[in-house]
Amino acid sequence: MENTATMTTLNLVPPGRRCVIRKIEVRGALRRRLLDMGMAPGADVEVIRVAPLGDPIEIKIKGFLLSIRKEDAVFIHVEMDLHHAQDEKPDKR
Amino acid sequence: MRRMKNRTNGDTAADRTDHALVVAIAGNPNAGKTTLFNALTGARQHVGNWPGVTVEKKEGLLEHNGRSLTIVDLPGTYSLTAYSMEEVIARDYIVNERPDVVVNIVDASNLERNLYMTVQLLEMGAPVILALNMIDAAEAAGLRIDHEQLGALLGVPVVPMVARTGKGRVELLDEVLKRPPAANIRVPYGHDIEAAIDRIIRAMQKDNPAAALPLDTRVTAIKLLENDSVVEKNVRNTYSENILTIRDRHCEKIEQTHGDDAETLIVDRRYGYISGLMREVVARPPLDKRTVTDRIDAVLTDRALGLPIFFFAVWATFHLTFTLGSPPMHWLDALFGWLGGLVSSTLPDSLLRSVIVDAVIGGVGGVIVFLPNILLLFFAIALLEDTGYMARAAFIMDRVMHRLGLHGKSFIPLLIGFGCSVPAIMATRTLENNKDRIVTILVTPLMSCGARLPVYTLLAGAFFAPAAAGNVIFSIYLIGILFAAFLARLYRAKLLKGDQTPFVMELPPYRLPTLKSVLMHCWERAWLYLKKAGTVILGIAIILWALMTFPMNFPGREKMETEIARAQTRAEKLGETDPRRARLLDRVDELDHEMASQQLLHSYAGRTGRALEPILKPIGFNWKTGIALIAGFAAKEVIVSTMGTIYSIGEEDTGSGKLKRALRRDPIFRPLTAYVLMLFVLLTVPCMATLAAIRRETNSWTWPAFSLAYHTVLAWTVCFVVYQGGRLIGL
Repeated sequence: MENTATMTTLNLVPPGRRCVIRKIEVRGALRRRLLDMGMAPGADVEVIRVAPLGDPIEIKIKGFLLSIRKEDAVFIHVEMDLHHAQDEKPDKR
Repeated sequence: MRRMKNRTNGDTAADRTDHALVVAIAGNPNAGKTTLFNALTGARQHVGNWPGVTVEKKEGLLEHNGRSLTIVDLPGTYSLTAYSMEEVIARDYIVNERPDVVVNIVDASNLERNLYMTVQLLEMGAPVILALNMIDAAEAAGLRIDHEQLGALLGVPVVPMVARTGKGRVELLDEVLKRPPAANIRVPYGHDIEAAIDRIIRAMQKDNPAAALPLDTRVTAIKLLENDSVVEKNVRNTYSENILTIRDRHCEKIEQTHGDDAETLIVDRRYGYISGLMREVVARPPLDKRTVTDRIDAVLTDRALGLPIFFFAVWATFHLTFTLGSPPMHWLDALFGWLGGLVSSTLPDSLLRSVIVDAVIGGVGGVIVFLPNILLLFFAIALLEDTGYMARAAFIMDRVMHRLGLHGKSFIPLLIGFGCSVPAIMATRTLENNKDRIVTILVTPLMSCGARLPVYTLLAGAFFAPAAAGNVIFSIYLIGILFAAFLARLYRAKLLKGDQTPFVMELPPYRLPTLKSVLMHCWERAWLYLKKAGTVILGIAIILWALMTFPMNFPGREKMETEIARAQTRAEKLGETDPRRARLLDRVDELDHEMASQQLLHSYAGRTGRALEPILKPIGFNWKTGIALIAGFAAKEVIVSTMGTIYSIGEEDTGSGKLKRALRRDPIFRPLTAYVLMLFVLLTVPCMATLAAIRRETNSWTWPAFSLAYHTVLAWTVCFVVYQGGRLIGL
């Protein structure tokens, strides 16, 4: 079974999935804020849930919970494992 | 930033045993900083301004083992690189004011991120003690932290604590008295960054060897590579442009080589350093452990349940405030009434008595009567904040707030605004983006405050059937909210255009707060409300009293006085049981009130009301309402009592049906006018105390002036449309 990773942006990661930050494609205040909160390349992130009204999203990083808007999360490039322990299906072949 | 003291280089002044040691508390928000501060200083604190996330500094006093300590609570920050005012203030204080000790409070259950700030503090060479707070939460999560090893590796004393319960307090203070040395760590930033740092340091030394920067050269160089705006400015003022050019060159090179900018690399290396520390010092269980917080959140922020639960929480807050607050409110009202009566009967009839009874007791009392409601509201909000639920509320509401051009965090000040605008405006300090802040401040007064409620109750009660009155009042609140939403959007889009702050907000773990901490948070805000009463309102009440009392003479006064005197003497000559006596005394009362009314009409206030009549008529008011509204400009609570005076109702009777009946008898008053008046009170300029708060929080005269202008235009225009429209359709 291949263990391919997929590159995407944080706002597209579905709840319950883990990913690793690869790059922050924005400058200025948002970048600094993200970095200060530990959202730096190499950090592990778990997307916990989406708010009842659809935005923002709640993630877990370095052991604490963070709330971030999808429009800001779009700048965070992450690498997500395609095969996730929870949705492994039995091999049909 | 105001300098607190003029401190010279070196801190030998504190070596003298009679000089108080200055201890600054720094750390992340939600790490328990304020709890620690309160636990250390108790009642002996100068809470000069608004608590919560303060931009102003909080100071307190403490004595330990015979030594005096001055504790300063710095704003909570995640970093010491200049990003917002909080970071700059915290850093400036540590670097410029040179406190004797810096207690860095960290959340042990969240150590990795908390250490990010610690590392920067240590790099700066501050004399740090690490307060490892919330170790109970860490232990509950299965973390085992070797605090001694942590201290050895960082070269600072580490004190495990549970600030909430006081555990570790004594040990911390003992360490404080021992005066920790200046920290000295060196984070390895990797070859390229270190080369850049080196190059910049050498360039600075060559360019201006005698320069004295607040931060040492290495830290300055690091901050330059991080594009710290404040350090950049300092460097620009102290050195030639050459330094910054060198910095820029190196940054470009680094970006080309590594694919990411120097700032990111520096952050990465810091966290790498911290990771290394964590490995040596923390034994943790598998990360998958679902904490209690996660389980609670699964319900409270659930897609389906989250919103209903939230609305329930808000509803419960207000319900609690109004129902539990009613009995004490009536009790206080009676108390002030009795006090007024007492003074009236003991002091001879004079100006002094009038000032005391009408201005002081009447005016100030009117504000204090609301204290139970306000206290309960603040208690509920403090409870929600301390448990951690408020962050969830901001999380849930952000989408709506964002559409309005606001911020999830704007929600809390707006909620507080239903109690009183003054603490609400101060609560906007949690908003990092200045534009978000100003817009929130501008629309907060549209959250109809508690002081306007008596006006609504009076008018709705007088002109609408009991069943409808409640709905009428609710519609007023709703209209306020709708206008706030509309104007927030408008202002943010047209007036205060600009970058929205990233809504990157920590959701702290749920905590069971101590009653003590909740009460303290609650009291801090209530105290502000009381201060407002004691100062601004008292002052305004007296000014207003003067405007309404002088000039004392009016045509026909002598005639009335004679008639009163005659009726009085005749009544006294009659027997106690003679029915004519009672009638005469009633007549005396009537004449007294009539005199008060006439005197008011001819006073300066009355003349102003008359002068304003041309603009009041198109919205259905007359000069009488004008006077009441002028009074309301000072403080909304005063409107009802002023109307009482205008309609010749005694101070004691405004609660009863008398004023309502008097209003109904006034020909200009009909249900439409009453509603329009309620609208006017909702939309008009907020009270003086609120404008003063706006001035303080925005640090300029522009915004209070703008507030005054827009509220006046808004109130008049809306009332004009509603009144004229209402007349047209025959209301």
